[in-house]
Amino acid sequence: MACARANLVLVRPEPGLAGGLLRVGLIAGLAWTTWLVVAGAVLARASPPRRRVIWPVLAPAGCYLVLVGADFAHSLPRGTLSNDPLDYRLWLGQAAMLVLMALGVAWGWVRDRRTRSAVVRLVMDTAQSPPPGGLRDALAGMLGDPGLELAYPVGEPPRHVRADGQAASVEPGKAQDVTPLVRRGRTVAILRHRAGLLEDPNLVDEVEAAARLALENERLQAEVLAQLEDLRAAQARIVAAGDDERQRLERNLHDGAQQRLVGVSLALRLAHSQSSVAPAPRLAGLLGQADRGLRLAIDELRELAHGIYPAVLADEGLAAAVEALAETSPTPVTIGDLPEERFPGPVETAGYFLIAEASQLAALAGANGITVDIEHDGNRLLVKITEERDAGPGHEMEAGLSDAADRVGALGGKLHVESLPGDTITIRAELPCGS
Amino acid sequence: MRVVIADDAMLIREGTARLLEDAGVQVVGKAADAEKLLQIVATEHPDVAIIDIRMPPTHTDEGLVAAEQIRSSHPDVGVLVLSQYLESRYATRLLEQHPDASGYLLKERVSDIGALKDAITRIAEGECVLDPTIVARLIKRPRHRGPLDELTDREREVLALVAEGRSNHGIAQILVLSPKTVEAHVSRIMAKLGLDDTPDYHRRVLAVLAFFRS
Repeated sequence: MACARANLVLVRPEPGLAGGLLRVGLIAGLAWTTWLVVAGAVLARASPPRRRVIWPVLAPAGCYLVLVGADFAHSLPRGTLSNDPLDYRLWLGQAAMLVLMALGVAWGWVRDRRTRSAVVRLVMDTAQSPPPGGLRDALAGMLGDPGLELAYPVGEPPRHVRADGQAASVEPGKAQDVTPLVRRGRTVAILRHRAGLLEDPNLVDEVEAAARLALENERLQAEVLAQLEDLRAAQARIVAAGDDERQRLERNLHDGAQQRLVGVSLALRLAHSQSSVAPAPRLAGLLGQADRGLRLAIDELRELAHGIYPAVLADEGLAAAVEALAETSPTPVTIGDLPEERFPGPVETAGYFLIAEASQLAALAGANGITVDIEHDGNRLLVKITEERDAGPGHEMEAGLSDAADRVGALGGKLHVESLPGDTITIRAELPCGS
Repeated sequence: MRVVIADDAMLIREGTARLLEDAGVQVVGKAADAEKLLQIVATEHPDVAIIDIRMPPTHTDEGLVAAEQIRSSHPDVGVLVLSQYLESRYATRLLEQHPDASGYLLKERVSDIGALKDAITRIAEGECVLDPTIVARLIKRPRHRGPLDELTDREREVLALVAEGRSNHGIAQILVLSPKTVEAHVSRIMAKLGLDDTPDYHRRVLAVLAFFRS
């Protein structure tokens, strides 16, 4: 009874039952914490980016639960929660973990704020319409992925281009994910980024919302640039098709017509030599005349074929073709630097026809001669033609070079004509040669 | 003299063979492509192989490549490349590698049996032969005033024959001069052009060609 009086909440003095219940409680607590730790571990394996985000909270939480579990386990043999020195230490540990958890939550909050202010900065940056590609730089900086790529779907059927209108890859790579930025069901842009960078859909929406105007601007710009690139490619195809046709014609003339003429000339000679009696002077004269006519025809055909497309250009390269040009050019051609290596066909052809046209124009203008210098500088072929003449403005030259200019343009190269004091005209062409 | 003819055009191959045979040259083989040509050269060992520059499969410079191969692997077989091209590059490509017993003539020379026979005879004797039209084109090439302008007409004539690969003896015969006069002309020309008057006949040809092409 004394006991009952001392304990105001005592219902029934049954120490056995009380001990049993306490033990069940401890076991339940232990099982519960164990389950929480396992569940937390499973959650933490969810995805690398999410793990990175929740790690500062999850790690201390896990430790905390382990410590609580340890306390339960420690209490189990005793049958009751108590406060021996080990319990004290475990409590201190738990308290420390709770503090760390709080710090983790605070850090996550700060990080969110930081991302948000970066998004705000992005809005500010992009509001001032950055140069093409500037948006990519801004996003790369904001998201901390220097290798980030930004592509826009353009055209029908859609293909993907960078801000400068060049084709872009939107295939996910080994460590590269692809995230579309979607507005009202329409993909406005596609980000190719470090794997796992944009797994938070809210962040993707925020990026899309923040860069909306700039994305739209840059997409339109990219579209225009892509169309220009398409035009250039079409021009290159037209030029290439024309050159193929020229080359085919040249071959046909050489291997067909010219070969036949040589054959006829041979047959004529054979006929002449086969007759047992010497032909009458009149017939001999006629045969001679026919032979001379054939030779002239062969010469003219050769010149015609060469004008259509010089075989030496395809066979032996630009250096050989320029040398051959110097052999027949109506104006003296001085050859300076001339790389002997071979370049892609369209580059050699563009370079050759530029020099050929310039030499013809120089001859028409009564120039004293031209000097040709060709330099291979990394992935460009630099062609420089210097013309010395007594008078004559440079723009005539430019107009006369329109065909060559088309070829240079089709390659995405640059052509620059400059009249220098001292009656010198310099033509410079820069041809991308991709090697 | 024994020759082999390689040309993918039947008409020209057979016609040339007939003309050569009529002129007393023995045609020991005819080929329509480079592979067959190399086979015949290996078995027949002709004095000269007459080769069309354009042959199958690509019709670009197969003949030139085959000629270079023959000169390397069968030094006793001379080569005469027949070509549609006036551009000196093809010819110099052949002559610079193998100046002895090599020749380069324009295709239409096949019907000029005199020129053809003269060329293969010279090649069989180890000379080099370059088509006069190509030489004339090189000499006439527009250029700024230079040492060529200081040559007399006779000297220019001699120079052209030197560039065609003629020996002093051959030049003397053509111009009806004494060999001594030709020798004197040649050394004066070489001095005017600033070239070494080398007694080596092949080096002399190459030096003159290099001068023209520079």
